Amino acid sequence: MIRTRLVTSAFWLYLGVVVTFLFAPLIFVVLFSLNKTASLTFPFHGFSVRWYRAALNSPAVSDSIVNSLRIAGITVAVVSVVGTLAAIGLTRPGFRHGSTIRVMLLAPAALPGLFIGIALLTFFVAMHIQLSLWTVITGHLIFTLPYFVLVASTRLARFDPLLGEAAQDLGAGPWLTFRRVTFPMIAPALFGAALVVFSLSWDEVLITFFTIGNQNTLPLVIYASVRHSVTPMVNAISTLLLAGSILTIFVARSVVVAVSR
Amino acid sequence: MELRDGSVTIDAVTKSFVGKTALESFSLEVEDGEFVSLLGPSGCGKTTLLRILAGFEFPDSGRVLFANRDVTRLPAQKRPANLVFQRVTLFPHLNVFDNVAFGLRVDRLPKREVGPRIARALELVRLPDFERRDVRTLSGGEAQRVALARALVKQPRVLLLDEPLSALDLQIRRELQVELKEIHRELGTTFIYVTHDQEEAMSMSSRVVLMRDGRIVQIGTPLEIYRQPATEFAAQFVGTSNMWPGRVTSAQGGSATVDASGMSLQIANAPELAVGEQVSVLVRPEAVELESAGGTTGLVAGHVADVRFVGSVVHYRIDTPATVLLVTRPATSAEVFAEGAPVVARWRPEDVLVLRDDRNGWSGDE
Repeated sequence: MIRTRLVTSAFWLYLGVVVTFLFAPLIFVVLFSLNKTASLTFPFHGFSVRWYRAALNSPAVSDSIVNSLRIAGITVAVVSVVGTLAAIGLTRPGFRHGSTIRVMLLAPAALPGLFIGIALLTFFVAMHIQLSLWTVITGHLIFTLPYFVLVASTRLARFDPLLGEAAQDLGAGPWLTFRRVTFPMIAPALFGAALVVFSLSWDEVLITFFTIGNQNTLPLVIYASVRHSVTPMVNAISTLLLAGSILTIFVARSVVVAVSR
Repeated sequence: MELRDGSVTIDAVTKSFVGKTALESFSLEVEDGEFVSLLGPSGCGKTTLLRILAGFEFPDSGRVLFANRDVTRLPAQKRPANLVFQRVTLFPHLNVFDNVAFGLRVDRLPKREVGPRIARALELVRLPDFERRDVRTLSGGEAQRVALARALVKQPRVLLLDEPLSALDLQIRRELQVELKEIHRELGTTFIYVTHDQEEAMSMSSRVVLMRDGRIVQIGTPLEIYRQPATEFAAQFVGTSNMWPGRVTSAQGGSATVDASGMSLQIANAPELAVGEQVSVLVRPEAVELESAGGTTGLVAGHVADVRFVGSVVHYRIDTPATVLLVTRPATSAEVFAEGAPVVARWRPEDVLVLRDDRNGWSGDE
């Protein structure tokens, strides 16, 4: 009995340490983003939203938010179309060299971001392509596509081919079958995958750093401001970034869960 | 308006899958409005044939004609036939109404016609008021009724059914068998029904096509196949039977004598037989009469080894010195025998069927 109790307490202690380790830094970021003064250490002087106001009033920050949204938005749009088409092709029975193409499509997910960033930069410079938000988007497409293809092809593999035959039997050709049956059924999974892509693109730093011109994204602004002076404004921006990510992940998860039930 | 002719011609269709022959030069004429069952064990090619008729598979050679029009290469979506699948294939993201409406909307039927057509189709399968139901809440039987309505609402000339009842409970299966027959009678659409269940095929169809190894063993009405099975396989597949190998000892005119399992069997209505020929003789369990041993003499004496009382009939297994005899008697017969009772069995010479060796013609080794 005592032994079991000891084991149980040890377990809870361990869990507590892990959770603290995981979340304490986050709590500090959020807490000091609400600090009244510019101090980032205790004592805490009381709550205020002045750093949020400062962040949102700074043109550098708001411009970067617009850029980040634009990059993530276009990335999501392009990846959704390309990824869905890729997944349909990959899950089609009898598709020759399907497994080879699948590995090639998924490989960028396993490559270090640093490598992708340097490779892209080298490529753009060599081809005399001006760095801009479009070069960033290219990089984001490369590293987010595998995640989308993975989710979409997993869902499509579970799609009952007899439903496609039933639609065909009722008079629907391939396009109508896709639009009326396949797509509505896999749409929630695709939506979930799109949100994952959004959150990946939204806070990406490495590839963005190498491929961006003279503009900025939100993560890059944070990175830059941390380098000279850390003010609670950085905390406020980070908290906004965190909130955005949590929200998209949460929506994505609940949609995917609702669908797989 | 097209002539609503539901005749189907299958002309020398051959189909094989990676070296395995599923259908071998298969020909069949189905008339408009018939209820034809394709009956056979799994792997006999019946489902392949149905998929070729539906347009999901295409034959290696041979032709398929609907109403004398060649549709051999026509894909499923362009054929005037609809299929009810073995498994539930309702679209889970649509409710009952939208499932049944699917085929009509694909055909761009005017909206005002869709509603009444669906109401009528659901009435036909006895599911009125089910329009707004979520298909995921339907029972197996209800789901297959909706699938049937979804196919019938398109008013196909030919309805193809691929063991649609095989996943259902016995009671619901029986219920739906009766209803399918009624629907067929009401609509007059050609039904082509695939099943491995001989009882289902026999009780529903106007014609049964018994298949084995991609070929036809026998075509006939259920009664014809039961009364005059063409081969041993046909005899065994359609109902239970007592079957013994034997040798013809005398043959004269229409009657003959065959020695089988130590019995000398008189046969009336025998085909042309030669003395010394090896044949199989077959006696249906319900053609056998039983009496207590003693008083009268029968053909075979033995004792009751097993009694199974199944509602309207009693099944006996009789052990005789030479063989085992299956007997089915009505439960209302005067005497019901207990296990161990000594009995004598007899049957009329007209009830003995003679079958020639059926091993020539196919390579099956079941």
